[in-house]
Amino acid sequence: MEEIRQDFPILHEPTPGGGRLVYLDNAATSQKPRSVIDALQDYYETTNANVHRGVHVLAEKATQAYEDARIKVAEFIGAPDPRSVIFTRGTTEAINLVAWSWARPRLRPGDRIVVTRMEHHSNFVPWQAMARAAGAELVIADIRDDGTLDPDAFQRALDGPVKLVALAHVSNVLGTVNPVADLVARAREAGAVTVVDGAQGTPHVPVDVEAIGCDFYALSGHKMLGPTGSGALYGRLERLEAMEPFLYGGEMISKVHDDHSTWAEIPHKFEAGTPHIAGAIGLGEAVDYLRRLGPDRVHRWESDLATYTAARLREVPGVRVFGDLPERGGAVSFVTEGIHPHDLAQYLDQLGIAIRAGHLCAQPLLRRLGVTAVSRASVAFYNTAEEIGLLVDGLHRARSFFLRG
Amino acid sequence: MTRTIPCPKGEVPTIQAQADALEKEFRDFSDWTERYEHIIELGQALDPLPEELRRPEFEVPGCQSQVWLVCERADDGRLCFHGHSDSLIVRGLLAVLIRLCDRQRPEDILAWDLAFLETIGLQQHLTPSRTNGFVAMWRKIQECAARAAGREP
Repeated sequence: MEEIRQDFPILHEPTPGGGRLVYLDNAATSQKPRSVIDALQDYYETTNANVHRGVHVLAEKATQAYEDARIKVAEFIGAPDPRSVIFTRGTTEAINLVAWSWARPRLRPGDRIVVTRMEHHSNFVPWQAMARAAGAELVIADIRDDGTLDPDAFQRALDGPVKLVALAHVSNVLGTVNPVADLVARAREAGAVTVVDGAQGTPHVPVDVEAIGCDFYALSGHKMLGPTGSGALYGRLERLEAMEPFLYGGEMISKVHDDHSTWAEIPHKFEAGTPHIAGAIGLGEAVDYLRRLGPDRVHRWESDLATYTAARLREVPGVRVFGDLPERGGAVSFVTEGIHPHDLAQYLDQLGIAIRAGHLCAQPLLRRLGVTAVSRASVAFYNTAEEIGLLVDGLHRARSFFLRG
Repeated sequence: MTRTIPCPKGEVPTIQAQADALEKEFRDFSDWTERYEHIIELGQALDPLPEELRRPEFEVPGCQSQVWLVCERADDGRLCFHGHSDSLIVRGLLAVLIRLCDRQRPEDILAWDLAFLETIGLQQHLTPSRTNGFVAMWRKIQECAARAAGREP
């Protein structure tokens, strides 16, 4: 473990208070290993050029590195063809791409879009907006009190003219790992196109888009050790072929006539403008790092540590942990009686412990949980049980600070 | 005219005098726990904002916690502020702002510079990235002052 921690320079930076950093906000963004940071620097020092158009050596080198990264991402998520991987700015852009290019021209009044109660806003608001614009209906499949998706509610939601189903692979609040292969199979049976939000999926659980069987899978680079501003959308080739572009501009055209244009082949059709080349290469490096560790191993460690976190937090008087789950994708959300989550996060920050507080971009879920804000500790494989001990100690200290008298 | 909150007219110490007093209170604290404790005490000393005023129109946008701030104008043109947050720390920060600005003239509020917060160790709350909404609360106060002074906020 110490060896792994050595790969992450930021974990050894002193905090403003002079202590060590306990970083438990991994669901917001992961820290970056040295190899990813080096890849970015190396790219700018030795390779920087624009991709796909130059004829000089650097341009070819940059294009090669960029396309190699695409192959790495495709292999990492089990996509059979690298052309099915489109580089995006992150999960949000990937989902919006599907919303605008696939859903917007195809939705008709009366159609139905199904999402779940545990969606992040980025896999909720785009569908809400598309449904409203088209006069379609947005149906939210509820969760059960244990934090898992209610399979009956999901099945009921599918009973109708459902055109698209969008669901999280892993909840960013509860840490729930959804049985996506099963849910996607049911959605397909109902005739729906399926979009899986993998923002919390790829960092925490092994992903195989073919086994899942989804039409689209959106992922975030920065949550899986890659640079911010990197991410990808996987789409089935035939879906991507049939879609109109999302953004127009350079790179994505074949021929531009005075009165009309034709589009480049996929994936370039969806990558207008100069892409985040360094970001994609950094993401490729992040994938290499995760593959060296082994996604199965990463998932086991993180799920065990998150489960341990939930158990330790439950021992603290007045703490309510959301979700009673057999496995966790890293996130553990809770509330502490008498202490606002914001105050707790600010207090722990003074102790060098970074957690998240607020609605966690999941207001529909928080309404269901009956709270306006939660505290969230989210672990990565480089966190330790000892750090969870420090979190629990900090929580005890916060209780004596805020609750006396 | 009925007022949302009571707003009597009358003289109060200047903003500068209030700031000086705050500076004195915070001067002796040696570490962050003492500063936080005092901020929380200031918040707890705020008059509670009636539940019926905790409604969307008085909510301060851009805060992670819920914050409400109501502002009224007294007959002598001075402004009164009343607010609440469900976060103890944010309520304390709000109390600091209210103490500075309550019953002051709009133009004096508009002319005031929050840089003095550095002297009481609260400068970390001034960065826009801080999600506690300190900047948002200050903006709301300034908007109210600008409106009262007949300027566009």
